Amino acid sequence: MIESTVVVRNRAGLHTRPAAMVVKVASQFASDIYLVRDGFNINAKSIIGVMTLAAEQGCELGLLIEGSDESEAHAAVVDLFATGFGEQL
Amino acid sequence: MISPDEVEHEIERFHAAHQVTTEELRQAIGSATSESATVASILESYLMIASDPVITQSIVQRIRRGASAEAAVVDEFDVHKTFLYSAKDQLLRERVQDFEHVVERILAALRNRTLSHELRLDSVVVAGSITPHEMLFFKRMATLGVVTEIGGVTSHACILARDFELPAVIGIRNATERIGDGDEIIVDGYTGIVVVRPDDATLQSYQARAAERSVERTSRLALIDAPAATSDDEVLVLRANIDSAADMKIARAVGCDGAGLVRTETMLVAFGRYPTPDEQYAWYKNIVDQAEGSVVTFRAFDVGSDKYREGIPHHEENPALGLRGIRFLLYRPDIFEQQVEAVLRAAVHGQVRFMLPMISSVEELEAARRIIHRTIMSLTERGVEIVSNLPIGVMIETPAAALLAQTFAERVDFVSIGTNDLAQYTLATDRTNELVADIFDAMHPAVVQLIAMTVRAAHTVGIPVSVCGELAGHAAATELLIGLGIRELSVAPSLALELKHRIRQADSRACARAVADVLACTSTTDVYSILQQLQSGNHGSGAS
Repeated sequence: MIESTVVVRNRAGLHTRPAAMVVKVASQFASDIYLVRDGFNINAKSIIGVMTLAAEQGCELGLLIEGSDESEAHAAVVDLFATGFGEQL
Repeated sequence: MISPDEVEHEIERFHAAHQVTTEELRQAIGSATSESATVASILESYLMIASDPVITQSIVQRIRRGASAEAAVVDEFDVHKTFLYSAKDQLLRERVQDFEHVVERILAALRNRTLSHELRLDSVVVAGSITPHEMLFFKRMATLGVVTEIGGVTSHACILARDFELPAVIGIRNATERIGDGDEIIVDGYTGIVVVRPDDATLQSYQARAAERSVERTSRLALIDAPAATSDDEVLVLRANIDSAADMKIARAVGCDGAGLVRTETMLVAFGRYPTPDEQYAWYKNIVDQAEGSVVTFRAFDVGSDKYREGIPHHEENPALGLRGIRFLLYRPDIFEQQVEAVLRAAVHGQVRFMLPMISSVEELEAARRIIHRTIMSLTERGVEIVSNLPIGVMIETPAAALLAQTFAERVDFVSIGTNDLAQYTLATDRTNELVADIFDAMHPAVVQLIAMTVRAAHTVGIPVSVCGELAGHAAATELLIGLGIRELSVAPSLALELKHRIRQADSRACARAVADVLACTSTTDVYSILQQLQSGNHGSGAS
């Protein structure tokens, strides 16, 4: 299991489009992937879950990944947050 | 509530329907990707919602607690829709529609009424309702015709069917129950009649008529270069209602004299956001180039929460009467200014006009003019190449605008009558609601009176007046519009040659005489009967 944190860097926050990107990337992996906010584990493969997070710019989220391809999955999700989903930082 | 021994069966039903839904979406995305990136991305967001593992699990739990599959789906999605509606982020609120589409698809699969896009080539689609992007699929699948339960003659699906020259009959209650899979049916889009399992005689007579129509249509091609003049040599200007540069090209190919209406909001759907001035400029210039020097009339973004919701602050109970057209543009001057900038720049390359939608007061026109003026000043200061005398016109599509037509005519360079909305607002009839479809009729005497007022006002002041609503393409209306003094019509390119044919058959003096009687009519039926007499060429001078 991999545990780490990611920060929402893009100005608009985790709105619909970035949320969809998170789900798209997460769904490519077999591992269970969770985003953690305020003690709640949100399934990163659930679009409604990720949208419900309503994470704004600067927000720090826990990342919890477990499964056969956890290190690849971790790298992909971290990269997505680091680049701000290709939006204005 | 279902009984405990039905639970497993309900769960199975749900899983089956869920699988059908996601599989259909996947196939649809596969085939949409090459044709339209927009359609593909909309379908992808549906697929993402439909395959949400949290939602799926929660639905199964609801069934275990005793809900039917249908109730579980509806209740589960309602929770999420409520959450999205109350969201602070307006982009999230706009996702509610996506959720509604997904629910509809799963429910349809549960009912076993397929919304499949896997169609045989020689089939007619019978459905509850059809979304614009489904219509796109049907067009590509060379579907023979479309029958739906919901929607009026001017619903988006119907307008698209006309653009695609696809026979369609809309608003047949219980059509999906009355027509079975594999039934032979006749779809008569001209009269709005559907014949299920026709006998041999009916079939033969329709086949003969279809053959005649096809000969007629071929003969219309000879009219491409002929003038749009009446039999007594009154010349009309025939323009096109278009959505893209590709449409403009088609319009030119069938001999249209430019575009009387460019629906610029189509670009918003294509981009999925408000494009930058540079992106808009490229889109507009492309159309202007395709117009080859003929007039191009850009209508400012006519958005409303029923069409394109981004930027509208919250859900509206009644979008038709809400923040739309010019009201939205004045609410978001930043968006309006960017569009004005792009149009002013594109106008350098041809003959461009700019038209304001949904105007209902002089103040709105003046506020819009101030923004246009300000934009011209700032672009001139920056040394950007623009035209400084862009002709500005207003759409006459509210009763208020028609009643004040004289006032508007004195303040603009042209007016254009949008008959769909004018009829909808005058008759207080939702034009997409099949329950009142029979009340919606642009030939209603009240609508005809408002059109006549507008034409008189424009003629008094001496500015061009055109009609760019569906009425312009309506068979019975050609003589009426000519008789009212309209000399500029704008229709879908696919209707242009048929309309030109009708114009060439008409006698403008006979039309004008008939209109005198029409204006005295007290009922829609009377209006039609006068126009029918005129068409059969035996119109007398007395009122009917």
